[in-house]
Amino acid sequence: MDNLQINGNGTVAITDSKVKNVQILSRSHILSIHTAEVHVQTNEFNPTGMILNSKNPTLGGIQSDRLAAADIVLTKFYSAMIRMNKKNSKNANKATENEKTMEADESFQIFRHNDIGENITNLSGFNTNTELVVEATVKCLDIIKPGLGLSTVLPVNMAARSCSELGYKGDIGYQTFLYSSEGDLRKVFMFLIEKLPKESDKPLSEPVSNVALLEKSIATAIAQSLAAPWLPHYCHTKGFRNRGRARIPYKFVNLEIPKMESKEEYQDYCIHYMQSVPEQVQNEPSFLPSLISYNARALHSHSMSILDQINWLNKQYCDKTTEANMPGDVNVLNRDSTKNTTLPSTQPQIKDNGTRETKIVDQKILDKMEKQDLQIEKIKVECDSLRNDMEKLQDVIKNLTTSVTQVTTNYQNEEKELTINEEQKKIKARIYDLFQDGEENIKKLEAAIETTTSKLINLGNQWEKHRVPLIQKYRQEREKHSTKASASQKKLDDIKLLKEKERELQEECRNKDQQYSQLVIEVQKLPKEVNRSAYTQRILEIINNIRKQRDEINKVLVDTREIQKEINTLTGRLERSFTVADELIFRDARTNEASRKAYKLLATLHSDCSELVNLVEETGATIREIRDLEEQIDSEATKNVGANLERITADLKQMKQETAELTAQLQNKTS
Amino acid sequence: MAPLTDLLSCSIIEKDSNGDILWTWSYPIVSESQKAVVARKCNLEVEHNSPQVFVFSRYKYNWFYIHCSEVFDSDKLPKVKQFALVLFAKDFNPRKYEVLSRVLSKMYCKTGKPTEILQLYLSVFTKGSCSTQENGTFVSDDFNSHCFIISTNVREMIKTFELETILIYTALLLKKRIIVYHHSLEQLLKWIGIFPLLMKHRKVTDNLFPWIDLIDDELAELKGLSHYIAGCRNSSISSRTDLFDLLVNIPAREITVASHAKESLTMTKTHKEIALFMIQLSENQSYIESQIISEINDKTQDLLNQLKSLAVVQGPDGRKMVSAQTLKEKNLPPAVEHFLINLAVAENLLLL
Repeated sequence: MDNLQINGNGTVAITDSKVKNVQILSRSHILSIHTAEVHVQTNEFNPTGMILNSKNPTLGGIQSDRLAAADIVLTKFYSAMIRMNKKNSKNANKATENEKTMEADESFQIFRHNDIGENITNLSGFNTNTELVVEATVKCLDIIKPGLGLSTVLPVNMAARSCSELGYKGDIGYQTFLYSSEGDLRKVFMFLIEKLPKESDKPLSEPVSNVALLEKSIATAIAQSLAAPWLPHYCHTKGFRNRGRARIPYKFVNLEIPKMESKEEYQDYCIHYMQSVPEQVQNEPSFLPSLISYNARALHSHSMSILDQINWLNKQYCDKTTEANMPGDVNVLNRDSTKNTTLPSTQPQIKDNGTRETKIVDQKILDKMEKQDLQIEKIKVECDSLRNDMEKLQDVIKNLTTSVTQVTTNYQNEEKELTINEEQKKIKARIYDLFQDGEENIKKLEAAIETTTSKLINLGNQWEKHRVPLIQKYRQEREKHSTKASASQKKLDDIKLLKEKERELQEECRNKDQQYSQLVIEVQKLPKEVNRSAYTQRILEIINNIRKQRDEINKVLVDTREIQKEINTLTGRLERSFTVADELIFRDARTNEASRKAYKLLATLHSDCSELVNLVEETGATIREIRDLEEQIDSEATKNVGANLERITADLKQMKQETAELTAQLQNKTS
Repeated sequence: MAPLTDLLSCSIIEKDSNGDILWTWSYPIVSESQKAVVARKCNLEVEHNSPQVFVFSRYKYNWFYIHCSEVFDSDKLPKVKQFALVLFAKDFNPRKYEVLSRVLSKMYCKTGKPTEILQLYLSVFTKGSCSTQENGTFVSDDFNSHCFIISTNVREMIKTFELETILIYTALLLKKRIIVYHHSLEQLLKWIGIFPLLMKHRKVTDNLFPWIDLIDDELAELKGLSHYIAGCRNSSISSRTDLFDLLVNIPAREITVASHAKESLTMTKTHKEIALFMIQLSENQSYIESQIISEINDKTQDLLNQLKSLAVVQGPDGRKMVSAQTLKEKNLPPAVEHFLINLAVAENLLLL
């Protein structure tokens, strides 16, 4: 790759395998990796697909060089993004300056060299440089969540925590950054870049014209001054808020200026004794305030004399007291408060205007106070009497209510009595009517009673004739009904059971439907264009291959078995021939010296041979073991343990050293 | 023989083999509201007949007496398992009506004919007596002369509540609202009969409700009265403090004074005296029941005479009345003064 280009329309193109230069042609943000199209060699694929693929490399069958290419895209993308971010912040800070495009491009060059070394072409390059990894992560986080304020150097636990707060699902901790593996890092960066704010999220903050720039600068200035805490005006020694203010405190003296009055004495006083205005004002700064206040007083006093003023205040007070004729503490307080407010307000006036009138005024005030006291006394007395009246009235009310209840009960009782008496009166009147010839009438009455009772009984009997069959009928019907009811109850129960079953079945049906629809959706999700027959063909091929392989394996197995058998027969034959030879030679060995020697040689030959065989077997076993171990080593080697271990030990050493230093420092301090 | 004109009606409620409860017969008339109350109280709805055979209570100003009977195969009542004979009457006399209802029930059992009952009823109503061949005769006048209406036991009451009996006495005297609780209906009806005897000088039975249920219409009737004595089987009555000033819990031997009535039921020296007097009465074995009742009554009369001696003011109807002013002038202790005023109000002797 030669070039990674991020074009104006937001496309990224990698034109060659060697990355030399990254150009950003657009001045708008190309932070959205989702919308960007990445061209790797001639194949087109979008980053989301890439992420999917890199997560499950076996599924998509993406090759390692493709992955590497994706890594490069990621790294370069990241560095480009960092640059954009820096430029943005720069823009914000220097909003008033009209930044030129060329300058920005120059700064890009600088940042690029600072960010990522040219020798780093993919994420595995990141691996060796922990600081770089952490810085990259923290900067990403800073863009996703501005204002986190994480430090770009170690410790990295905060960054890890922020990542998991953002929703990173994998296992993440300081070890991910410190002793990182390529796969983990790739996952983390994929996640972070996915989370980066999209282009549409950010408003365009580029100043377009001079007017816009001016507006922006005004806005920033206002925002700045709004952000500053409020201070009283005298705390502002500079700034526009203090403009047009005098720094002199407003201290005034009551000026005395001669008036056109007829009194001789006063004029005499004015001529002879009264000081001139500048003399009355002791210090120069209070001259203006004094004049202003004198003027204000003259304007707002309505040319009232002091006496008029006092009279007005008194009238005011009198009005209030007449209003406050009702008893109660509140009004008393009110009066007190008015008194308090009127008196001080009058006093300064009096003092202002010389000493002559004070005596008269004092006298008047004293009179007023006496009057007030008298009034208060009066009102208190009134209050007491009213309270007494109230209590009396309440007593009366109580008495009246009890008497009302009493009277009502009496009334009710009497009403009852009246009705009873009236009834009795009627009866008695009737009795008196009949009293004239009592005996006969009594007899008559008795007879009448007799007849009515017999009549009643007769009626009762007649009624019985109707009643009894009706009741019987009712009971019979009732019985029928109850039997029916029980039957119907049974049916109802059955229906209920059936309904329940139906409901259950419906539920089941619904569940099944749901399952079905889910499965249908899944089926739809599955790629439709995949040729089923091709798959099956491939599967069949594979099966055939496997069958062939199995056949071959079987053949090999048969071969080995045959060889084994052969070996066995051979060893058997050897053994037998050896024993035969041994016996033969042993028989001859007693007599023949040569055969004795031969026997000895045979024995050594035999033992040597067996030793050889053993050795051969052992070498076979060791070779097998070696092969096993090599496999294990291979598997271990892929885990990248060595480097990590080295780094851990190095870190451990460093830590030990540091702790030693610290303890030494501590000892020094304590000693 | 005076005719028993206090009788209002007679009716029969039958419970048949279907489990239905039917008002099969009545004379002369029973209103629907009366039916509702009686149906609630007659106990026929319970599967097994309750041991309580005779029940009495009141509805508005009338009393009703229910006599339940089991029907046996020998009786001439086919398909009927139980029946209740209900009598409505103007007066409160449980013993009299118990006998009468028993006579009538037996007759009905034997003949199975309501006309026989009608005959007996009319004979009692017109002549004051009736006679049957097997069940003897009933004469209403026999019961009128008796000084106690139901077999009562004031002695037992005093022994049960000891000194606290005075609370019942005072509450009765001052016309307070009293609720008597007992879970057993039989016991409740037995105990409720004792209360009127403590106040013989008044017609306490006018405000006696032997058995109420916590049902709205019955409670509404109670609430319409300023004072009453009501029996209740429902233990949740104890929480209804709006219904009573004094709760007498018989099985627990407990008397509860509602917090709002505590002030008016303050005990004075007089109360202590009467309480001790009652206990002495109950401990003295030589006294019979009627003597105890009359002794208590005498004591009450003494108390009332004392009050009447204070009555110096002429009332509007010419009677001597007690005025609150005179009581105040006596400078009595506040508790005593309060009690006397309340008593005068209860006796309708207070003039304001």
